[in-house]
Amino acid sequence: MTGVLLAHAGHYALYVLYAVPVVVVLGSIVLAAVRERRERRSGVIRPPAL
Amino acid sequence: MLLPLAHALAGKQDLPIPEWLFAWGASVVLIVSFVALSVAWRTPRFEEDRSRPVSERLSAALLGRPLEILCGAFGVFLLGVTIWAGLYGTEAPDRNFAVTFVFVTVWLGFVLFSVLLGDVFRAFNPWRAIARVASGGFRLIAGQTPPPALPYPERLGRWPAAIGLLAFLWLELVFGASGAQTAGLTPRTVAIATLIYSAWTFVGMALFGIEKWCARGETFSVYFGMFSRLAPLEVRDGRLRRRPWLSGATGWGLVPGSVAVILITIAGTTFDGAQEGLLNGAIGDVFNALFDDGNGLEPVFALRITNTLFMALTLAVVTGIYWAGVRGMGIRGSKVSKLRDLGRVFAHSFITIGLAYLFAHYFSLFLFQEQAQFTYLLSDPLGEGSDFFGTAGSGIDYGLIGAEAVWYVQVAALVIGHVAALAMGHDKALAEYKDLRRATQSQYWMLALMVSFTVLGLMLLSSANA
Repeated sequence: MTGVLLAHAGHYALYVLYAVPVVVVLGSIVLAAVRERRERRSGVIRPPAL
Repeated sequence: MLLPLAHALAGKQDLPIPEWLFAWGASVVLIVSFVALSVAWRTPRFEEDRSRPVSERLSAALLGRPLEILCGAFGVFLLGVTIWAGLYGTEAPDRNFAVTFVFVTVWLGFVLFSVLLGDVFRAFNPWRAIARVASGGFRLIAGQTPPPALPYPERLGRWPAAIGLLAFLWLELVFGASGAQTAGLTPRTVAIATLIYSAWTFVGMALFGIEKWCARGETFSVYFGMFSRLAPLEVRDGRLRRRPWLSGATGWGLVPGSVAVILITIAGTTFDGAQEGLLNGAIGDVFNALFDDGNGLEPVFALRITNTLFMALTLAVVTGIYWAGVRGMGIRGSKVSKLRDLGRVFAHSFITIGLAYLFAHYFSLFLFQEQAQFTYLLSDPLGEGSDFFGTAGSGIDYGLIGAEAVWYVQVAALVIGHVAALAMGHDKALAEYKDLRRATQSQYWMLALMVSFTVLGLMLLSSANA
């Protein structure tokens, strides 16, 4: 059973590398949202976006 | 895809970098495109009508009655050949005209024609042609116009077409995939399915009118019509017009059911790729549990149940990604008041993703199978030894394109398709949100969607090709 699980895990491990860009982009969005919320709370007025 | 050689190409041993690194590269291209769009594309370009009529003579020649009759008759003839070959030809799917013609030549070929030339299927649509002749015949014989059509319930929108699309893909990918081979989808099944679909279409046309049913309920018209919205040509008020590429798509998704049509399109290709690689192990596990060494369900039935479950799961995942992205964009600062409407507003951006997925997954299959279509299947449609055009002895040149070239084309198709989707989404956001900051913010989520679908596409192709 453990062997089967390990074989499955090994099979899918490569796909983690594919997930990196998605995690990076989603992480950036979350970080930007958190930063904006903090700035809003502290009363910082940001210049208009591009 | 069910036919031989779907993705069964030689391994790509000489790629300079691992395949997953292509996903990183593609993501970087998307991020750079996103920044470039934010900086350089600051007013909506696809919202206003920028189409121009082509010369009257060309328009009249292409849209005139003689060509219309010719195209319609040709469509009806090919429908007849498909049913005839399916019912009376060989049961070997790869030697019978019907299977390749429906699932490769028409299903993939008309997508290509639609994107390049506009809604050409409309001219060749055999059901529309038959219904129009029948309607004209009724007028002639009865000396009165046919009874008026029922008003089409607009809340149904394109849902009938979406359900038809799902049924078609299920027939192709689930019903046909018994034993993971081509055995399930026999030419006879194709012919019977064609007859059933024809009857359904004629009932729809009789009830709601020919043109209305083509616009809303006829699956092939709606499906190819969706891709034709990307084309640089359109017919409006009886006149052929030129327009910038992609510009005709805006507003396509506002009709109910349109989001379902594009998500089913993407999910169908996703499932086809996934069952050949990514989901292969999981499908095997569920199948084994249902089959239970002969003590459980009958094997073909067990496999169809398994594949139906995984197809539904794929559709749920693709739908989930889409609506998560739309939810991320949010209705705050937009012109719509419901999230559902925002999803419809941006649905057209995903047509190029559907196209990119189709192109990446099937272009090699198309390249190979069309050689069969225009050689031995043309000369010997029944697969029983005839040689109408002297090409029955020809075969498929599998050396036409190598595995590496296929991979590069797949990567390029996915990247181009997603960059185009990003541009269409960006343009829409500029029109939809009340200020530039909200428009840009919303498109972070569109970027996340594009990166997700690009990476998913490359992962599927890589695992299916492995």
